[in-house]
Parts: sequence; structure tokens; C-alpha cells
Amino acid sequence: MFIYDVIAFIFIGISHILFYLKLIRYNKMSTLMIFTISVIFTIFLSTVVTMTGYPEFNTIMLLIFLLCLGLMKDKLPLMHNLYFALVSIVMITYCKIILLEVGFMLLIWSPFHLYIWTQSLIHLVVSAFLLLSILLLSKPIDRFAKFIVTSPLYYVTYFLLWIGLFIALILTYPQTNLLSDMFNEYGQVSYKLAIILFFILLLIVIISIHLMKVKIEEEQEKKLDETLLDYVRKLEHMYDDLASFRHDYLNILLSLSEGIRTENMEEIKRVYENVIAPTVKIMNHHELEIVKLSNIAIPEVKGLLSSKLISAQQQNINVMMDIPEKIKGVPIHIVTFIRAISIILDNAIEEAVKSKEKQLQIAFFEMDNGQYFIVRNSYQNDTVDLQKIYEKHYSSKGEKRGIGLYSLKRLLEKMDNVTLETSVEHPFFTQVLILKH
Amino acid sequence: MSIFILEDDMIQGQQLKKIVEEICEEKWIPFDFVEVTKSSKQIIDKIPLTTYIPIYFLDIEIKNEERKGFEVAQEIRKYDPNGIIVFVTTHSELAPISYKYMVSALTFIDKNSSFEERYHLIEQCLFHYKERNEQEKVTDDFVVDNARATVRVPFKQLEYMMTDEPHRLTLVAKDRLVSFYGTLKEIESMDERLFRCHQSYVVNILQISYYDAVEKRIVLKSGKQIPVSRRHVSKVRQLLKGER
Repeated sequence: MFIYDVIAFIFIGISHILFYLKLIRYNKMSTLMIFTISVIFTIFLSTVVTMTGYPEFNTIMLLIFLLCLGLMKDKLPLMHNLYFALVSIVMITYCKIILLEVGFMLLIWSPFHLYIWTQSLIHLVVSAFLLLSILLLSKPIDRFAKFIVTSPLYYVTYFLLWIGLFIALILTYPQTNLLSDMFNEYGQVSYKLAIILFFILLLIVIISIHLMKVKIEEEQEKKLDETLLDYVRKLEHMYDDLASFRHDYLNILLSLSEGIRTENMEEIKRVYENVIAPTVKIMNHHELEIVKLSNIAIPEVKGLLSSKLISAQQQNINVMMDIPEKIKGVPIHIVTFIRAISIILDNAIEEAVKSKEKQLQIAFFEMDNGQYFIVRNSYQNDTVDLQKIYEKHYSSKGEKRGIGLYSLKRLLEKMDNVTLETSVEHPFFTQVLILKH
Repeated sequence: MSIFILEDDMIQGQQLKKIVEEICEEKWIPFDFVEVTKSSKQIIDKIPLTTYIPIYFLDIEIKNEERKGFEVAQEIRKYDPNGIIVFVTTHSELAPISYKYMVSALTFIDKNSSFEERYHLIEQCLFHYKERNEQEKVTDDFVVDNARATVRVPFKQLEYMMTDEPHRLTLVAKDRLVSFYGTLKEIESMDERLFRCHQSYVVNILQISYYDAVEKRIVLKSGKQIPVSRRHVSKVRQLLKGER
């Protein structure tokens, strides 16, 4: 039964740290690392508490420890750091208290007998449950953390959390004179207060998660609308061009027929050179490439491709779009796909601009064994060390490229059904993303 | 061994035929016939008559149909999965890559490029054609095909493979890198020319140049170096002595 308690304490330790890391959104730590730190910290804490006999240390040391962990993340204001540390401590402590209570009530109502070890077992079950729910709820936690720091609820909850921390301190059977007096006097009240406080905080958390969801959806929609609007504007612009060309065309024919009627070779020549020859440009105009995007039925992808296409063309790159058939969806998460292809396209455009040929080809199509997204661009340097371009700080010119491809690799590592093929065949550099269904 | 040319401009078709015949004569490349036609049906009908692996030169734009050549290629693939398809086009620099992948075409030949360039490219295609017909196996490709990835690389280009992350492999070839789902365990038994020299490396034996005993590394013909773990050292020595 002793071992149950030890494991339970370790679980609680891991829960605190994991929850806190999720709140501050620090994800560079490996699972093993989190586990080791938690175990060491739990053992250290229990030694300190047993040696000194002051259970208050539990809460205070944990707070200091979490604050220290927060220092690892850059650009985290101290106030936010403190806030999230408080959230982690108060929420988990209260959850534990309440779940233990519920566990006992269930046990008393149940036909099972009460043994000495039952308490430890409940403790273990409760802590395992806590850890599991933190692992499962990582997305809502992330949303909550994003939302709360910008909302007015932040200050309210800050205040509530401090009270919560204080009550939690009182409830740990403190040994310091002041606190133990308070425990003796207000123990029962604090307990009830704690439960009320917990439900208030829980309500706030749930509300903010929900509000954040709405906010994210709104933002996504807005972004989508903007890219689509961009696309529509471009199409309108092209249509205007075409309309004005049609209008001019009649005049061109008139002036030509006039030249032919009078058999004035000079006039015909002049009309051809000044008026007709330049129309080749319009006929072959690369702006027409954007029309080929109509085969893509995913608005996000269409928007991204059109904006990259426009930016490439503005930099005088000769772009060819190759989307022979309708594309209705991608077999991976759309956000991941968008991130991956924007890294690939940004790099391709950057390299194509510097090259002599200034060519960029984008192909997107389905085959039996999956979906292919191919980007092929001309590049300047004669030698590209394929393996090095994926290293963190490598870059053919400037820092940006290296980091881009490095994060592309990181991004795709977790995507089992994605194959990334990179090849060079001077002067062309090709990236192929193969997505299996 | 048969050669097909799909071209609606008779002059260009005959020109291509002449170049092909010239190269074949000069380089001793045997063939049964060279068929120049502007009708795809004539090609499809003749496919059953071919022996070994035929080569098809297809003009993409036939009679103002922008995709005709490609459609013919798709049709050909239904009857002949192994034939070599080469697209001929007026602007190959920006020829649609999707065509190449969808019918696994060999390459594009640009009608507008200089005669020498075109001649050279056609020669390359015919060499490939000859080589393919002389091999016993249809192709010597290294192929991984599992539920999550399909990878195909010519075996002689493959250098080595390594684990990046659990279940994530990187294949390194001469001018190519492929990152895909898989494990070395599944890979190493696929071909006896593959050799496990390290916990996270499998190397293509054909690519090994020598073993650097001081650094404990295998050096490849391309100069790339691969670590050898201590427990595999003796196997590497045996291998290089030819005792495997």
C-alpha cells in the first residue's frame, strides 16, 4: 500500500508539471525528461516534507519549481508564468481533493469493505485519472492558455487563484503557527470554500475554452474570406484585361484592313509591329495560370496557391501550374498540409528568383498510390548538398531557408502516410510530397 | 523490339524517324520496326505484335488537342505497363510534370531545342531502351510499398538508408533524398545487397568503396561516410574480403 501512495505522488507530480508545460506551451521537453524531472522532484519534495515536518513546503516548493521551469521558455512574462503555475497547482490540488471525496463516497455506498489500503488505492486511481485527463485534454488546455491571457477573465481568475492557493495551503495540515491556527479555526469553512472556488474556476475554464473555439473559427473564416477575395479580385482583373483586349482587337482589325485596302505595306508593318506583336504577350500571359487553380476544391489550398503564384509572378518567375484533375481533399490534416506546402513554395520561389532560368512548376494530382504535390524550381548554385539543407542552421544564403526546411522535416516526421522526396538535377530542384490515402 | 512515333506533322515525324534509325545503326541498337503515325489507334493495335519492351515517342499536342499525347500514353499503359514512353513537345521546359508521373514517362524532348541537344537526348533514350531490353529482370529498382508509403529508386543509385525517428527512414541516393514511413528491420531483408552496419544504418554493398578502420566508418564511392558499430566491424571485414 505504501507503493500505491508513492506511485500516486509521482503521478500527481507529473500531472502538475505536464499541465504547467502545456499551459505555457513549452513542447521542447521529451516525455522521458518530464518523467525523470517529476520523479526526482517528487522524491526530493517528500524527503524535505518528512524531514522538516512542514507540509506547507509541498505547495510553496512546487510553485517555485514551476516558476523555474517557466524560465526555460523565452518571452514568457513573469506574471503569466506565475499565473499558469498557480493554475496548475490550484486546479490539480482541488481536483484531487474533490475526486478523493467522491471516491470515498462511492466506496461507502458500494458493497466493498473498507481496508487500510483502500485509501491508498483510491489515491492511486484518482491521480492516474488526473494524469490521463491532462494527457487527453491537451487541445482544450492549449486553447484555454491562448485565450485567458487576453481576456478580462484573466484578472478575476488571478485574484481567485491567489485565494485558492491560500486555502490550499491551509488545507494541507500546516505546521507553522499562523497557518495551523487558521486551519484549526477555519478548516471546515475553507474546505467548503475550496469546493465552491473550484467549481467557479472550472466554469471559467470551460467558458474560456468555448469562447476560444468560437474565436478561432471566426479568425479562420476571416482569413479564408480574405484569400478567396484576393483570388476573385485577380480573376476580375484578368477579365478586365481580356475585355479591353477584345475591344482593341476590333480596332486593330480595322486599321489592318485599311492598310490592306490601300496596299500600304508600311502601314501594315507598323500595325503589326506596334499593335499585333505585343498581343502575343497577352495571349501567352502567365496570369492565365491562376485559372488552373479552379480544379482545386479546397479553399485554403486554393487561396495559398494563388497568393504564392501571384507573388512569384510579381518577381518575374515563369510559373506553370499543373493540376490536371479535380482535387477535393487531402488525406492529412489541412493545417499541416498548408504549413508544409508553404515552406516548400517559399523556398522554391526564393531559389527561383536567384536563378538564371527563373522557372517554377507546381503540380498537384492523384494517382492510384496516393496524392502527389510536386514543386520544381530552377536554382543557381551548381552544388547542393541534399543532406545538409535539412539541418537546422544550414542555408544556401541567409538563415531563413535552412530553418524552413528543417521545420518541414520536423513537421512531417509525425505524419506516417507522408513521403517527402527531394532531388536535384541541375538546374532543377524538385520536392515531391506523396500523401497516401 | 519496336519503336513507335506518334506525330501529326509528317515532316517532323520522318525527321525523328531518321534520327532514331541513324542512332540505332551507329550504336548497334537492334529493332524490328519504326512506326511513324498520326493515329493513336494504329499504335494501340500494334502493341500485341511487339516483342520485348517497345519505346514510344509521343507528341503531346496532336491536331490542336493539348492533351492528346498524354491520353494516348494512358491508353498505352493499359496494354503495356513496361514500355518506355518519351513525350515530345514544343515547350518541354514547362511540360506538365504530372504527365510524367501518371504514366511513368522517361522524359520530355523539346522540339525547339537545338539539333545536337535533341540528338543527344534521343540517344540517351535509346540507350535506356537498349539497356532495359538486355536486362533479365524487368527493372532493377529498390521498391518499398507499405500501407503508408511507396518508394521506388533504381538500385544502382541507392546509397544507404538510415533511421531518423522511430518509424521514419531517410533513403539517400545519388541525387535524391526520400523521407518515408518504415523500419530498417523491414528493409534490410528485402535485398541481399543491403547490409546492416549500424543500429540505424543500412548500406548498399555495391556503393562501398572501402572501410576506414581508424574512424570505424564505411566510405562510399561518392565519398559519403557511414558509421559502423563495434559489433558489426567483423562482419564488415568479412564482407569486404568477399566471405559473405
